[in-house]
Amino acid sequence: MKIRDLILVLTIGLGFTLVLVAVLFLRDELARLDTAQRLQASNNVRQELLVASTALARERTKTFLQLTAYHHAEITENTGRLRRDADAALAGARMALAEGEALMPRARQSADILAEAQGELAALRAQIDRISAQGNGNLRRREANAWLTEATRLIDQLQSARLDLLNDNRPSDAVLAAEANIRAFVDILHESIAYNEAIGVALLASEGRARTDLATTLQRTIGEIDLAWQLIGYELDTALPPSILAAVQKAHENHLRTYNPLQLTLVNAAPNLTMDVMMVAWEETSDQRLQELGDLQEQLIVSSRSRLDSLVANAQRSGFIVGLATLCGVLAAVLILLVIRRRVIAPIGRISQAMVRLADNDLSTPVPRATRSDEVGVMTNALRTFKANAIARQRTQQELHRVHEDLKATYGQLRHDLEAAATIQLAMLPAPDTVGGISHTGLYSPSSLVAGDTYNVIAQPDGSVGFFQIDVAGHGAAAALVSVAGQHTLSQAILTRRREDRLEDIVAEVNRDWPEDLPYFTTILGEIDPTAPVARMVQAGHPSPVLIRSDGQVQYIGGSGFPVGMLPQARYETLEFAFRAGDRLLIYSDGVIETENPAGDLYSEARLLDLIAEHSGGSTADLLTALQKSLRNWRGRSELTDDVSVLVVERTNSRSNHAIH
Amino acid sequence: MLSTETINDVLVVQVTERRLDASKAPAFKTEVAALTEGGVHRLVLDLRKVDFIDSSGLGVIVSCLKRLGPSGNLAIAGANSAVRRLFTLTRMDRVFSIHDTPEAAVENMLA
Repeated sequence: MKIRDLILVLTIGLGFTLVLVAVLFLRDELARLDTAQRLQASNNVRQELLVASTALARERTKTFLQLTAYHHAEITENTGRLRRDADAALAGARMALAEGEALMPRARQSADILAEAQGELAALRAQIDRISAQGNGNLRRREANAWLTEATRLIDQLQSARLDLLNDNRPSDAVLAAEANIRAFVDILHESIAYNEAIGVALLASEGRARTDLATTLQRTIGEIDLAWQLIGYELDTALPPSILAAVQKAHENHLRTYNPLQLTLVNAAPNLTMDVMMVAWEETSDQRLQELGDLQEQLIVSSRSRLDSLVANAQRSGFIVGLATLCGVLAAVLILLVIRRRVIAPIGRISQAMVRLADNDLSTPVPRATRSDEVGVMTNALRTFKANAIARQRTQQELHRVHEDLKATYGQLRHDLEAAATIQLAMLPAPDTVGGISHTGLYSPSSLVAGDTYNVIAQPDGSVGFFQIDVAGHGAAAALVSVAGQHTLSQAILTRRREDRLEDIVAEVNRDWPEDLPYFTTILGEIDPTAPVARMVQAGHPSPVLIRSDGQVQYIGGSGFPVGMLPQARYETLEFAFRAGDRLLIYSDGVIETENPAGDLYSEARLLDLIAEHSGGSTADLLTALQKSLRNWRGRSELTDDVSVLVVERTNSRSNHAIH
Repeated sequence: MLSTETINDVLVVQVTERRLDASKAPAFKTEVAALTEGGVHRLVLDLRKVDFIDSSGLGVIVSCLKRLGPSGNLAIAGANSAVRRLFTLTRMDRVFSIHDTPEAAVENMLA
């Protein structure tokens, strides 16, 4: 996987995860918002229902008191206002239900119940108005009891509808839940006190069995009141707003202080004794308590509503923040992707392409100058340096190749020259021949193309045959050139020799005239007398030659002598020795006896003499072949390190030889 | 390729190579020239470690003698039989005095 794809996948993965987390958060926030909105809608309906049931409870009690006419004229309230309050609250409840229909599953059902209750209420009111107009006391009291029962049933219906709504959307918030509970209990309190207000007045006006029943009803309702207060007390453990807490406690204290003593007096009061006073006190106290509970209810409603509003606002705000954060996250991911793409992936792609092409030796690949100082810039600059070095290296290699070609050409030329020189040098050697009764054969084996060894055999004007072998110090081209000079000098000296010139004088003269800065050479310069069975030779630093008698006897002859070109004042001697027909003289360069075998041992004069003795009975050609073979065996696999040459001269059974006999 | 010592004010140069041939001769010549720079006229060449000398080797030894000047004195010490034969063959035994040991060469030189 390319780095580009890897970064792409990672960034997309990061962005996706970010979005996923954000969506989960957002969903939670939306759920919270939805819940809060449901609670708000439910709360609105319940609030209206509460107001409605409160108003209806007061209407019921006041209407009952008017119908029974127990109550004092001064405390009679205008039931018209209470009816309008109740109707307005019921209409408000239906409107709230219609508004929150989408949020409350039971909205339509509750609306139907309300509509039905409104219808029933209207019918009841019409009935009451008709009876009131007639003014029949007994009929009015009967209707009053029926009204009380029916109105109470309607109130119970409203409360039931309200509790259903509450159960459908019970708030999870502890304070809201506690406040909802307290509102329900306060409603029960209100209803019970309002109901008891009517019952209490009826009780004061009644007697006998009816009184006992009413007292029982009153006490049962008082039990409900006490229970409601007790239940409210449980809810106070929650962290309610201090104002609500204070209001509840104050209402309870006021209740205990004013209502409880009065209810005891009411239950235990003698019939008709203090009816008017008690009635007024009961109504007043009840109304005060109802007013106080109404205010408390109002406070609870305001508190719950503001709390719900803040919950909704919180949910909206967090939803907005989470949404914004999600958007920012997505934007950041996209931005990161774009930046990485532009600043990293694209340049790395370009660099890697350039690297691959450079690695393929495509040095024309453009590597633009880095305009940045980050890692990509460093990489680009390093690549530029690499390319520059590669170009320089390529140039050096081309230059080396050119020099190598030049060298090869020069070497070829040199070798060609040397080969030409070798051909010339070889051509200067005399081919095997017989000159003036003297036959000669040579062996010539240079260590490189050309050699510092050379030899010649020359018939002299007086009939004698001169011969020499030269070995120039060193080997190779320089020695070869000197050997040519030496051969020319000695050959000329033999050809231009005057009769009185002795051999040693020739060598001494050459030695004296030899340039000091040229290498010296060793030589055997000899001549074979045409008239006498003798030969003469001068030995100048050269190894002593081998004399092979016609009968096969072999021996070294000679001793020592200065090389030529080493000491200008050197003196030389001529050695004269018998050299009859069939006698052979074998002259060799020191390369023969100094040939080393792989162990470093020299071939030596002794081995040479043994080999010659072994083959002295055979022909000269066979002898030289055997010598060559022996030397090669001695040397082993290696090349020769020094020039090897051999010259053999032989007096054949010629006319001059016969002349001696 | 050379090591030197001084015995009784005479410079003794030992050749530490087994062969003194065409491949070693130029270096030998250069080193001896450096050693004898500044008026050395007497020199003992210790050849005890040398097995073989070829014509090039002989040439540079003679050139050393020439460097020592007209009054120069070069003695050979410790040459083996093969080397001695070379000196004899080329009559260099008549040019150099040849001794078994450097000490003998020095003693002879000072006598």
